[in-house]
Amino acid sequence: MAITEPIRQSVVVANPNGLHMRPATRFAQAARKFRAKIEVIHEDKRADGKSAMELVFLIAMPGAELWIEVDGDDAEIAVEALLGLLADPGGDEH
Amino acid sequence: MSMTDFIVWDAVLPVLRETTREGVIREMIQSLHGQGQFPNTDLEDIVRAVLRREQLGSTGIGRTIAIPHSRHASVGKLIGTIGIAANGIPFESIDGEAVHVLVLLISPQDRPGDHLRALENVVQTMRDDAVVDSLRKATTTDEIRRIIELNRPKH
Repeated sequence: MAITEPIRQSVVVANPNGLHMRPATRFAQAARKFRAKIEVIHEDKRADGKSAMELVFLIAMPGAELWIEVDGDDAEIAVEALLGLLADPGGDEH
Repeated sequence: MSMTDFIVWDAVLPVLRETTREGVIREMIQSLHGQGQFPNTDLEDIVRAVLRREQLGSTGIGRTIAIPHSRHASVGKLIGTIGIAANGIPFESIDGEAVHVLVLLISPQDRPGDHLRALENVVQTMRDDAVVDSLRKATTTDEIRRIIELNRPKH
């Protein structure tokens, strides 16, 4: 089995209402499709990226800088997909 | 922020009469209105806003809890109420379970931080299954209030 290093990338929350229940749910649903361990970090708080509620607990306001830490054999494609979700303002309904 | 800061206690419904998702949402909004909230507002407009949000994805977060919510221009600060449905309401929750404990939140258009903190507070207060269970069994507003105050999250 290949040994992988976790990938860490920063992203700014684009949703005008912050990381509220719906974008958090979208993120967690997308994250659960990957085998990798996915964590989202905001200041001193760390959330399991596969749990919508833990993501809401980050209280990530619009413009907040988050870090995504992904560890696993599908980490690279996971990071690409998930960064896009946080950088997406979310359309008319946010 | 704690739930005691935004729950309108006189609008809490220990025994919801309605039996559908739309019905209980309307019942809870009417209860807030009965306590002087949303003056000069078409209540159906608020009901529609909350139902529209439900259509985008159920706010039934599992463990028999639902947090229906919306922003609405008729409130100047975030308010909420609690409803208990002893028999359970079909809610298309993420875990497929019927909902027994509802917390309805209406927030101003421009205060996303308050909304996030309120959501966090509701979920943290009900983090323990025993709390949800005791809320389900509560039959008076005083009991509900005591349970919420005893389980206020420590920050």
